[in-house]
Amino acid sequence: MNQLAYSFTELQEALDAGESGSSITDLFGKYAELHAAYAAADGNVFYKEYDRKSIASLKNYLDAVNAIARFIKIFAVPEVYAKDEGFYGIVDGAADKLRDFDLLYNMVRNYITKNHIKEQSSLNF
Amino acid sequence: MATPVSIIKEILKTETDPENIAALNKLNGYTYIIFDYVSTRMLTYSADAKATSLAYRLVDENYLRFYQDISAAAEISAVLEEAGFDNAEVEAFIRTDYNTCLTSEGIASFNAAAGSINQFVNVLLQQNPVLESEPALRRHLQPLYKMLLDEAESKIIKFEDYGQLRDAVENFRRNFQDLPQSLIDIFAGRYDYSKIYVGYKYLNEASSQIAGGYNWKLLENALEDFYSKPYLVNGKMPVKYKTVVNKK
Repeated sequence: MNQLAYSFTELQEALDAGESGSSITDLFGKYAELHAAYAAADGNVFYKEYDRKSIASLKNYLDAVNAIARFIKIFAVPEVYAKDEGFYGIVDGAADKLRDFDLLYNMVRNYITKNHIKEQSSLNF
Repeated sequence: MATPVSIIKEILKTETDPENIAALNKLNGYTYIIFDYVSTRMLTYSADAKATSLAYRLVDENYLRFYQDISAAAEISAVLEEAGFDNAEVEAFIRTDYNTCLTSEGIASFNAAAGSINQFVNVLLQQNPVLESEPALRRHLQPLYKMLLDEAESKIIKFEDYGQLRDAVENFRRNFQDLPQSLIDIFAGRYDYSKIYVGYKYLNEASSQIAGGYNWKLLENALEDFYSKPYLVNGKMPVKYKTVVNKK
């Protein structure tokens, strides 16, 4: 088993053979939870330098986006695979938009840990 | 494998110039400085099909994108010509000189041209809704991946002040804000599941999502069991057997 990616059909066959009772399409349903966390965090972002609540609001937002970014990566597949265009048209676009997100996350974290969090060690950014 | 420490020891055995010896001795205990450099390059020039390898980036990733973009542009151009629209910009994009897209500059210029065509087609579709029935015009040209060890990419960048941080986050939010909602629709849809995939590297992440975190080997174990079953025909379970299993 050394394929670079497995289709949902293949994965479901393997799950059925093992009688785990799990369904691979349940994966899609998990996005709703990530979206709810994102929407809540997005509504709360505010900027105030050296303010603990502001830092927490930024961290919540970036972590929520990060969770979406990780989720999107699950579906990444090499270009040679025959893809469902309707699905990958949006998902590949999302992956492209999130490509530099790691850089932004690290830059924000570095700035805040260096300049803001000194004695506030309980806040792990 | 030669490590920086062993390489330095090897050189020191034969080096006679006292200045060089002093310089090499200065690195004693600090070879990690060059270790990263060496290990990065070993990955870069590896022949393995890995995302860190130059050959993989050039052949497996970027050439395919290049080919797909050029094919898409040819289709777009044909549709525009037939419908009587200006296709000069799209025609100018169609080329076979992939060798111009091997450097960072070449990739940047290809991506700028592809982006410009995407924008042109978007505007055209907005102004002429009748064209929306053309599948070729809904194809989005994909940018090529940046070159490995691209200087612009590897530069250490940081925020100079809080204002820059705020602008960068706000800029990202503006760009990103419509996407999560559109993903809700996407993940609520039904598809041809033989054409939706989970990447091998992300099987455990997918398992955690499905099984709630405690069974992060769910998919990997299922695949291992499945492919080690002796009764498979061409790696697949015979239809008869599958029906019996499902009925249990």
